[in-house]
Amino acid sequence: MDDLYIKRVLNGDVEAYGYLIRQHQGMAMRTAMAIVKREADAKDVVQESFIQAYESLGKFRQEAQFSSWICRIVINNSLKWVSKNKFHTLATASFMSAAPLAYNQGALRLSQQDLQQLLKAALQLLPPKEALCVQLFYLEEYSIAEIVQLTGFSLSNVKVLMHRGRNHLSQHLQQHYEKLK
Amino acid sequence: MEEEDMIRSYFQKAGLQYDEEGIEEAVLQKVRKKPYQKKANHYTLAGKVGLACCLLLSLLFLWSLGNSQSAQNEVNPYYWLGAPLILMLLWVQLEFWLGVRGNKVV
Repeated sequence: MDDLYIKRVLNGDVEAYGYLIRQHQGMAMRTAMAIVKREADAKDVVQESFIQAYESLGKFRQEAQFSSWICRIVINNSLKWVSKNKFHTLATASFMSAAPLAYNQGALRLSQQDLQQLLKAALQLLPPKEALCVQLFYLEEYSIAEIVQLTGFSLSNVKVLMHRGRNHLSQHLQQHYEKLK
Repeated sequence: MEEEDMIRSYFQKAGLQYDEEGIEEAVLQKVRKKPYQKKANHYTLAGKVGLACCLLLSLLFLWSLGNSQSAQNEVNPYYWLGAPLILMLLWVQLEFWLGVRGNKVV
């Protein structure tokens, strides 16, 4: 369906781009938020990314997926934003040990809203690259190989980020869940 | 593996959503100022094939003309040279007037 709308945009139908924005803005926001951490800033990054994508739409090779393409643009712009604004996530030095924490199935019994709040708070504390890899893998369901393509990180780097991100996320989830109970 | 499945369950159930209001309108407001233009395709594939055939015919006639000249036959060279060129011109005109050519420039 995306291909059809891309063709319409390239034929002069600007409003057709609205469909592509609506389809992918959710994923774009989640990706930007993983890195920039602030909603207002993430929105700016996402808007800028969609504008950039529009301007380069003539060069877009339609054998690739538009979702992956826009995701890559959002990631690049978000990382540039972080680099430019020297944003630092909250300290993650509070990790007690490397031992994995026991999972509490009770967290799944929380309402969707509470669980969303829990996850958002936990992701907020992860370093940007860890949060990005974790979010792309678990929520957007990209494979490790696809994450390598999207981010430009090396395979070993992605694996390390995933491992650390998973551990840190587990610990944060546990801490935040205790507060919600 | 259990840890992975648990995290995946959290994400799948929670379905993270952030405030997306205003993104579409803000982007469309900027891109409306620069719509894409349809590129003109002066000749369709049929047109290009037709032109190629005409050129080939022209070359064949020239070659046969060369042969007939060398055989000293009574041939009017200008007639035989002109015929394929006229065919080519007719083909181009026909394509234009019948609208066989591609999209018009907006």
